[in-house]
Amino acid sequence: MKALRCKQLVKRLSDYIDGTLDDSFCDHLDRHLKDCAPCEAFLRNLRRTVSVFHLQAQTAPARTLRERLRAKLRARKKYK
Amino acid sequence: MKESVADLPSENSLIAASKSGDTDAFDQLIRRYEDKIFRLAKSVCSGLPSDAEDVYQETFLTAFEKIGKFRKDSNLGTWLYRIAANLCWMRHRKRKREPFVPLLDDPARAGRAAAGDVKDWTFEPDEAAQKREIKETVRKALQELPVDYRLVLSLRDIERLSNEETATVLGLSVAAVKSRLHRGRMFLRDRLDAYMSGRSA
Ligand SMILES: [Zn+2]
Repeated sequence: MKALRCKQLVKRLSDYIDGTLDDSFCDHLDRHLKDCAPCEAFLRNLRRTVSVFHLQAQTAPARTLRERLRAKLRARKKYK
Repeated sequence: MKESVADLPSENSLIAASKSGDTDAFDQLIRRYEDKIFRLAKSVCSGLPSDAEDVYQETFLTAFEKIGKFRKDSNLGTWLYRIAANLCWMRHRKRKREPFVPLLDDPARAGRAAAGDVKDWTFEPDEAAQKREIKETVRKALQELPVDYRLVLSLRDIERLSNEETATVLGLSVAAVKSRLHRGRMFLRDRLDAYMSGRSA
C-alpha cells in the first residue's frame, strides 16, 4: 500500500536531508521520490523549513549589551 | 584597530592567559564567540529578550569564573554552548510548565503527504514586513516546543553543529538528538505551512 510507505518514508526525511541515511535506504527513498509528487513536495518544504529557520535567526548583540557584559566582567575581576 | 589573521593570538594562549585572570585575553575570546552564544540564547529564549540577554551575559561570566577548570583537550565552543544550554534549562525549570509536544512524526499526521494535500511553498519573502511575519511565526512555534527541542534545532540548524557535536553539548545520545531534530523540523514545517504556501498570506 503506497500511502503507508509514504508515512514510513517521511520519518526519514531529516536523515535524507542531512546525508545521514545509509546508502541502501537512500536509494530506496530516491526511487520513491521520483514518482511520488506529494513526498517530493513534502521534502522540498522541509528543506525550506531548515533554511528559513536558519535565516530568520541571524542576529547579533547590541553594542550597549556587549558593553554591559564587559563592565560586569571588570567589576567581578576587581572583587576577586 | 585592524588585525590580520597572522596577528591573532592562538586560542590556547588566550585561554592560558584567561586562566591567570587576564580580562583582556578573555575579552578576545568573548569576541570570537559572543555572536554565536547570543544567537543561540535568542532562539532558545524565544519571545523573552531579557532572558536571552541574561543568558548571553551569564554564559561568559560563568565561563570566566570556571575557565581554570577548562581542560586543554576540550573544545571551547562546545564548552561555551554547554554553559549557555544549562543556563537556558535552569531558566525554564523555574517556569516549570513544559509544553506538550504534538506527535507530528506520527505517520497519521505527517502522512498528510500521502493524502496528496502537500502544497508547494511558492512564497518568496522579499519585503521586510514578510520577513518579520516569518520571524514571528517561528517565534510562536518555538514557544510551543520544550526547551531541549529548541536547543537541538538551534544548535543543528542555526549553529550548524553536527548531530554528534550537538549530542556532546547537550549530553544526549545521537539518537535522541536526531529524533528531536526531526520532530522539531516537522513541527516548524507544519507551523510555517499556511504562510509559506500562500494559504493565509
Ligand atoms: Zn510518497
